[in-house]
Amino acid sequence: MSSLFGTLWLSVGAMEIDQKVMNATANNVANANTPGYSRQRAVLVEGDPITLGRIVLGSGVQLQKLESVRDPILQVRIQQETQRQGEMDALVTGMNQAQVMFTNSDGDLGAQISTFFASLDRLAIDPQNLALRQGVLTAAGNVANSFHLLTKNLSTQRQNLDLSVGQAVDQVNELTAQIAQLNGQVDGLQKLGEDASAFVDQRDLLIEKLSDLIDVTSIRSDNGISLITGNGTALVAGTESFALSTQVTVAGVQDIFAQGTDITATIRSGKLAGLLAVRDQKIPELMTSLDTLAAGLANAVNSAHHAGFDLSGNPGGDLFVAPQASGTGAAANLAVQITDPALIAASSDGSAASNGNIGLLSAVHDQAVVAGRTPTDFYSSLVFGVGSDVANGTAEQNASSLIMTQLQAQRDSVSGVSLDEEAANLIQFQRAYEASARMVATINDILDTTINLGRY
Amino acid sequence: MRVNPHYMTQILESLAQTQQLEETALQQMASGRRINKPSDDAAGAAVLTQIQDKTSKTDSYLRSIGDITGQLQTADSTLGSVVTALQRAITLGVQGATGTESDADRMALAQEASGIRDSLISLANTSFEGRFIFSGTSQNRPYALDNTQASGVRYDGNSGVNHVTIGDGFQLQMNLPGAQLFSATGPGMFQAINDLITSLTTDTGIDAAVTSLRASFDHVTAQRVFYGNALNQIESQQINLSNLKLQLSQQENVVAGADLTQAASQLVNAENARNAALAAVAKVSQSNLFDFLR
Repeated sequence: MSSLFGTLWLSVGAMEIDQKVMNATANNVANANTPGYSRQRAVLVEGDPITLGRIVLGSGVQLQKLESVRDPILQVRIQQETQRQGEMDALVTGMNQAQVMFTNSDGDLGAQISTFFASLDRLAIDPQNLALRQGVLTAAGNVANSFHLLTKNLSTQRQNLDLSVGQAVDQVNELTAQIAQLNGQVDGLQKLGEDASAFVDQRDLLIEKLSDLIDVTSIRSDNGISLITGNGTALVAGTESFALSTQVTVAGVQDIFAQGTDITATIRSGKLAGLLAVRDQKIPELMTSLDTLAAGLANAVNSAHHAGFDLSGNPGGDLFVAPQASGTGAAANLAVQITDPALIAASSDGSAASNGNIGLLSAVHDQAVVAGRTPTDFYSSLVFGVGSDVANGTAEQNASSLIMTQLQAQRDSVSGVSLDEEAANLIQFQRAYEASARMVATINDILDTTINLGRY
Repeated sequence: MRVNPHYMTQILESLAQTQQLEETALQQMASGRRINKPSDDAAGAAVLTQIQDKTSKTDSYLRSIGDITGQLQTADSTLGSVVTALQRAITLGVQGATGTESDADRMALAQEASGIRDSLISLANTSFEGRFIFSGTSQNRPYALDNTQASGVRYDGNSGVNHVTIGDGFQLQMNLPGAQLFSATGPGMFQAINDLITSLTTDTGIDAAVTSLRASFDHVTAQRVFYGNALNQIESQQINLSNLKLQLSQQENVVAGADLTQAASQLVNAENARNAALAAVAKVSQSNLFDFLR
């Protein structure tokens, strides 16, 4: 092989390889800003040496492969963090909408309850005054309206979240179908021994997007990547994807089904988990609390009202429409029972000018009538609950986004395209190409010499 | 070690964070409040809810005090007039009982006593803003002329009393029923004045009538202390409540008020940080090795 032609082909081979490496560099530069792109690196190895007697001759360079530089463990961490981020984003967005309704203001539920009791104090001065009596009824109506508004907004929000759940499920299905297809392409190319990194990059990107929506664990198998969610339900297995479906339940919201099994409760992270947490836990909890508050308040006021007598000396009836014994729907259905202001039972002895029962009614303000707390204390703990949910969620969201930035920085420091580095590579291989070309020219000169040997 | 070539995303993240700080500081400065939504400080928002409730209560108590002061003052001054009238009646009785008065003079005294009786009935029927203040919890005019009664009047009110809440757990009695004020001792005030008129006319038993009148005088004077006390109580309670209101508004400010100096300096800091980051981006990101390969 140590012939001139051998050396010629060795140099030509080197030129070809330098060209391929420069092609990879060009590709890296071209994809410098492509999301999810991992830089490619040429793996060059020495050609198999040739032994001639005692002499071992090199046979040039070989391009073993162009490999994409990526850190699979980092990729998994990013997927996990994306899931957490997706969940916190959905949770915080949802609760932020809810907390607006509980912002301290002159018209919030707490203020309306205070105003109701203040209107009673007002009536105590002149219990026969019909205008003051009407004031009490109006204030009671405002309390009921506040409850209605809160429950209506919360249930509207719940419906909107339900729509988002449906959309997220559609997105999940779209992504899993694409991932399954890419699995097939990667598998096909790898079986032919070809470079599938472009498809692998795309697949990683799609898995990342999927992670934003739902918790997925990826398992590498012979025929690509399998994705499972929650309690082990497969979303993608090889080239096959399994679509999730939704079904409206008795609660009036959609549950998520995978191959006939309800997996709603097993989704642990991702946007879906956040949406479901707000839709199925946070908002129902708030509504239950409002029901407890409305029922406690209405029952206590009613029972105090029964103890008195109205303007005509008849025993007092219900001031609020009596809520169901279970308390369910108490907030949404709270209403003032009496429309005639004369029917307010202000009197404790049946005489029209007595205000004895108003003391009893307004004492409800300071009585532990709602789950062992006063109405105001109960409401303020409700405000605290909503506020701390958002505050904690936001803190976690910020932490997660910080971690995410760091993880992405780490991934980019491994897989990102550095233009400086590519420029250096370009010079390096350009020079190598030029040197090999010079070799070819030199050997050509030598061959010329050899061919013309003995002419002169 | 290979460094991250895409530092721009990290810078964007920190830019977003400083921007968030700027927004928060601006919102605090604009609203003057540190808590603009429950999540700004959940515990603070809960306390704020309670402070607002307490403020509403205090306002309500103060308004009640304002509303009942007039009624209590009217009752007090009415009883003052009753006391004066009774004093005059006693003087008349004493004058009539000396035995030196002629029949005509005693008739004149009886005449005047009769006038006093009318004014006493009118005083007992005093109303404030359309409400009889000595009728108990009844809306009836408390005293009506009734010749079938020995005292010449009939009490149509009742013995109920009303209370008004002027503090947490502070129930102040608003009224004394007429029966308790005017007819609780001996024969009662109206009977006593009636007896005086009769005795002056007939010149018998004037001393007994005067004794009854004295007893009524003492009783009304003693009862009047109730209104004096009530007025004192609401006055001191008004001061307490005004102080409480001040404290509550201070508390509210401590819990929810923004520290404007701090907010302003936060705003400046955030602005500086943002400008510095932006300037750095502008400087750093302009060139790479390709620019130098010619």
